[in-house]
Amino acid sequence: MQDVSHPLAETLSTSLDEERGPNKVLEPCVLVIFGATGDLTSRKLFPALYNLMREGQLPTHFACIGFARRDKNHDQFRQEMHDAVAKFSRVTPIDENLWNNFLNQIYYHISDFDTDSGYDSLKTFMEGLDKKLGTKGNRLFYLSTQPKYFPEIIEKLSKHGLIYDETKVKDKWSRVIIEKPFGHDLLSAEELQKFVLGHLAENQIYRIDHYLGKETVQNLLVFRFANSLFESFWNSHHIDHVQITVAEDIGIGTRGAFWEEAGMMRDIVQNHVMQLLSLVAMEPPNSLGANAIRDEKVKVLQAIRPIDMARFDDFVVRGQYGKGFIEGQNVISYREEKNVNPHSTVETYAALKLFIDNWRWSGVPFFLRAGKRLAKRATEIAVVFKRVPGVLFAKQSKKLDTNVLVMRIQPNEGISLKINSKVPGPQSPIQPVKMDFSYSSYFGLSPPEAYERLIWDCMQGDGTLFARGDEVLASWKLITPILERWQQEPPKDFPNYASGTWGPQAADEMIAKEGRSWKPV
Amino acid sequence: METGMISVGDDIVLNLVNIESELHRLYARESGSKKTRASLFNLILYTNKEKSDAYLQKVVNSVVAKFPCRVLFITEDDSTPPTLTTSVATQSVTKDIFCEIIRITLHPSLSERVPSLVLPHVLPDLPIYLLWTEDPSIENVIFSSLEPFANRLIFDSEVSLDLQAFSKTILALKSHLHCQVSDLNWSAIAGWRKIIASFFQGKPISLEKIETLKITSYQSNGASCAYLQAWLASKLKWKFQNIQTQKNRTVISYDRANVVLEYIENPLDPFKLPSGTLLDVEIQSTYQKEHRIFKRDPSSRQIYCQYSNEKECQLPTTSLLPGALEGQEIIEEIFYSPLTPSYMEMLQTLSEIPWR
Repeated sequence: MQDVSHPLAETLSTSLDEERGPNKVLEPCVLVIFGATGDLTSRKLFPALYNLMREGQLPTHFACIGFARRDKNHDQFRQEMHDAVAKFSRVTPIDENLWNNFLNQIYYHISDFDTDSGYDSLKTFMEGLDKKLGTKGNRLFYLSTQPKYFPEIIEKLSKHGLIYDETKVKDKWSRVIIEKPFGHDLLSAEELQKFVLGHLAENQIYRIDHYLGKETVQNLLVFRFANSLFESFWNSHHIDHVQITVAEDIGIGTRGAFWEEAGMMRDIVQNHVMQLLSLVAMEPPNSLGANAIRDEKVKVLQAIRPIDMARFDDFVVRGQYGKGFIEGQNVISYREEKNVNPHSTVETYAALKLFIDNWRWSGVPFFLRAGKRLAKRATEIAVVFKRVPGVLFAKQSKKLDTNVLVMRIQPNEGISLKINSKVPGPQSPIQPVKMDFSYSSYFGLSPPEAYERLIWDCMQGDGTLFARGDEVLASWKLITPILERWQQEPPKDFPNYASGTWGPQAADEMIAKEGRSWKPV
Repeated sequence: METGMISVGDDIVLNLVNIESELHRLYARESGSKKTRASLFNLILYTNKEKSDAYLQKVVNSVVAKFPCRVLFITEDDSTPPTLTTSVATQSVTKDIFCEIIRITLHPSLSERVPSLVLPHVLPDLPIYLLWTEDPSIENVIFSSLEPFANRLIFDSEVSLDLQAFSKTILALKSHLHCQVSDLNWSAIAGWRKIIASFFQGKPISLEKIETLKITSYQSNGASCAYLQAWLASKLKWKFQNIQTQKNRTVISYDRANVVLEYIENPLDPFKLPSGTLLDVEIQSTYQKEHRIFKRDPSSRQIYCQYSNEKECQLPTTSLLPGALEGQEIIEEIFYSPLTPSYMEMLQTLSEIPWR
């Protein structure tokens, strides 16, 4: 108890308060990972926890419990996570001294997701950890499971008092992290949202979109709003169009069963691409608070013009990869992948043309594309500026290149600006050149992985980098009519692009109708 | 994807490096030496002849010295078993600047794999120049895959066995190509065109009354001299009548003039002149019996110009010929100059002559 009569009491409490403030020491907590034996835990979550621990970013009083059905004990789970971290951590080799301290904070809990006794025993175990490790009843539940288990798990957590009604419980907190996809269409997302809000407040729900955890995506806000230079021409007066590309050269791998249910639109476009779009197009927020930023993102999504169903093919293209070559090597078609229907009509490529009907963006087309087995792996946002009037320099160059600002999300993270320059010499030809900022050149250090930042933010209670319920629903509202149309009209020409190319011809035609072309990535 | 030696059946062996990783590794290495990577454009070169490989490397060296660029060098070689090999290297431009060369060597049966190795590694937002040293009239899957992405196609008529077909192909291509077209041989004779034009400046009657043009070149199938004479013929609107070809000599008859093309084969070549180098140009005009000789000094790039007519014989003058594929002017001609109507008119004239 604080001695308020002590002359240093106030000073002491002030200095301690500073240490307890935001971005400093995190509050104690227990993290429970549901589906801990899955791929995400070993490839992403535990490496993230290890690196947070390694950099002193985990709470001093912390424990992690893996919750899953498979039969194993604490030590077996700890060894598996050790091996996973050794393989997938961004920093290797694993520091065995650090790990040996950390493993005492790792536990494993066997249970099915629908067994009450499993949750009872979990509660008892966690209360024991609170006493042993001082985790003070703070709970973070990570649902790294198939979406169909979300309602069951949340209901059980609520039923067994593992998540708290924050209107009544003030001295501890509970939060739930939900992996995407949040629903598989608008109706299911609304139902899930309604269900979740029946057990949790919105600020207790952290819907993960790992793109938001990427340094380069976070830098979009800094780039736009920490540099006065760009805001004045970030609008329809100066920008001709915007292209957002999420390209992968890999196929679906072992995720055939999942992909047959999801497809590119659900897995990538509805979440990652729409997040990038909203960050590029949003208005400046009035603060850096989570809701202030998310309010502006929602406004963008709500301003997107719904797809004109009478001219559907002018706005939406889908594709499925056939066989081809990636980096010189043969690859099979989507329909030949494991666990994929040989007559599957699921799309592995989607392209959209969207318009945002607000003052800033009126008339500016946004071209979005995402695909598997494309020519290379690259995620970028290209802001293409309007052409200069063709009055000058016509003699030197028939058609001057437009200026293009490219934000490379991955790989080769950075930002480049294409400008025109005179080539030295008397004839004065004009040549496009690039001004380039590369993360690796400037900062050198291996940046934190997305999940490190997201888990850390969630522990802090900062929801900025997580999707809010209305954001998700606004995105589904745009995407669902497309999915319904596709469902009604199965494609007749799949596969319609060879692996290693840039997608179906129809996508080139879609953008060409607007007098533009896809920018090389 | 896998790297190293990969067998893919039917005795096909792929010997692949991870190009992206290699680029990163080399960049880190060179950056550690305080060097800067520079690239103004992407230069994709294609050849299917070992001889051209050395010639193209010289082209690359000349280009990179003036304009650092990312080079993608594709060599098809049908003398080897069905293999495909990739490698990455850096090329120093100056002591402070370097650029990268990606090499792809393959058996022609594997050519459909090439676009998947080239396209992911061109630098985006920079022009793509495709230097195609084979006859474009011959169908090629690599050309048809890469041409849509090129900002400029650069051809080399020197390799064409049939200049008439070549010129017809270029004329046809030009009408539907979205990109610019350059011709190495047209650029190579730029200096000669300028010198000849300068000596006839202000003398239209003399030009009109040219009756004989004789061009001597060193070895080759005569692409350079064919271009030069076709250029003059198109400018003066001569109408082709017939062509007679003998060993080391071709005579072309136009309605108002005759053209003689001679080729010298000199096994004792102390100056290592490249094949196709123009050595002499003689122009005779009926106007005042004017006779002009332009003679190249093989040891240098100087041209001795001699003029005489029925009344006088002037002392020779000297002009400097810009070196083929060297110098900023030539590089600019290849990479930046739009195709002029003169080139198209020259091709039109060339397309009417049944060369063999």
